[in-house]
Amino acid sequence: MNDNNQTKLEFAGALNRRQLLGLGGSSLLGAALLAACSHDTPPATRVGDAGTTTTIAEPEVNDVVLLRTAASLEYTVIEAYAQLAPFLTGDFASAKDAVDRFVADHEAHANAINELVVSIGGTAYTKSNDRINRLYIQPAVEIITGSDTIEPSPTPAEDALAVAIALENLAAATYQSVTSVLENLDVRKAAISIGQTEARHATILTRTLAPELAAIVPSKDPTTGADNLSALPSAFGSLSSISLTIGAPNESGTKTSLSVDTPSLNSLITE
Amino acid sequence: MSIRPSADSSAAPPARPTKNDMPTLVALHEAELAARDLYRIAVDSNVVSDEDASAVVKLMVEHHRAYGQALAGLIGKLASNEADAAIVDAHKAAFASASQFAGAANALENELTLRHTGAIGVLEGTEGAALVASIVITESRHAVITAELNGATSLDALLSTEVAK
Repeated sequence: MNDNNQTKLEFAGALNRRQLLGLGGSSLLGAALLAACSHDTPPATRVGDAGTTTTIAEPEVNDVVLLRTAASLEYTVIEAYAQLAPFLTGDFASAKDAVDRFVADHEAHANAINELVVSIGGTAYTKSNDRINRLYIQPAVEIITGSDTIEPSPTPAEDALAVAIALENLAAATYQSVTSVLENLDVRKAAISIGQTEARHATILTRTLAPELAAIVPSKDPTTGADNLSALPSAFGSLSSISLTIGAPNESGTKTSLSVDTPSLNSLITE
Repeated sequence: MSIRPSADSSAAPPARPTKNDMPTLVALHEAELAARDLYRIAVDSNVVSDEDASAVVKLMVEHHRAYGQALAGLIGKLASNEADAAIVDAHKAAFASASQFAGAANALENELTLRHTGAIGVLEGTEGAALVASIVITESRHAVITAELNGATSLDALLSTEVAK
């Protein structure tokens, strides 16, 4: 950096945030243009002092981290079922049997995953995923139960099933996505073995909520154009966001939509 | 998920199928074409009379055709584009029978799921593993649907992974 540039940066740095905002956009643009037109200095590309930045260390994404994250998702689903099961009443009371079975499956999956974690030198993880709870589970449950600002769902059983389907699809998609990232081939095989069971769970729950034969193949709502619930929504396992539409309809008849995604870097359970 | 292994990973697996992967992928390709042909036999034999059930069987044809095509794209010139004759021969009579179709289809879907899961344990290239994983997920859904078409109602029956009939 030459002396002229250093002076400009010091000047800009001397202005506090309020003064900079008070200059307005045109002043900032003008300053940039003037600096760019100067013959004796290289074009300036900024007038503010960005200061130093601290780069957050990228977490190492290895088999242990991916498996611990998968274990956390298993516990998340188990805890979610405990919150959703009380809503399964009336026509959907029999779905509690499926929930009981699936909870047992998820417990077995969590144990199996943690055994794998330990076998490759990691530490077992036996808690749910805070971020997924915060982003998806708690908002979904609040939409069903209602709050000071949210009207309770008039169809809590159907909505609870819809959330369960989304979670099982999320689990299946998570295992599908990590399968090609895991380095250990035996671990890959174990992961997809569990993932295919989660997909079976999702399919059974989908058939509970939409038992008509016509609901197996993909279709669209003729009014809204939205995808109807389908037991076989696509030829290949999807890694796209999972759309979850639940809750009390608003004045225009539209329910609340949540977009559920497989764990991202922020959801990883590192050691 | 957009997660990738850390850049400094010392043993990052290869993306493209390796030479060792090819026999496995070729076998899966031919198995999928066999499944496609078997469901075509079911469609041609009108094994289901219900219009909605028929749509399901036709969807199965399309799915297995798509798997065959995707695998062929991965293995390139090694793709035979021929169905596994042993699989077709083993199931074709049942797929032409209204009373046996759904049970045979369920056994086939579980067999394919098992084969593909086993393949993931040997495939070195991540592209092959990713494709096969995406197939396993939907074929396991197929297994539940074919179990239901076969009259299964209990959770044990719907979740059964039995292949032998």
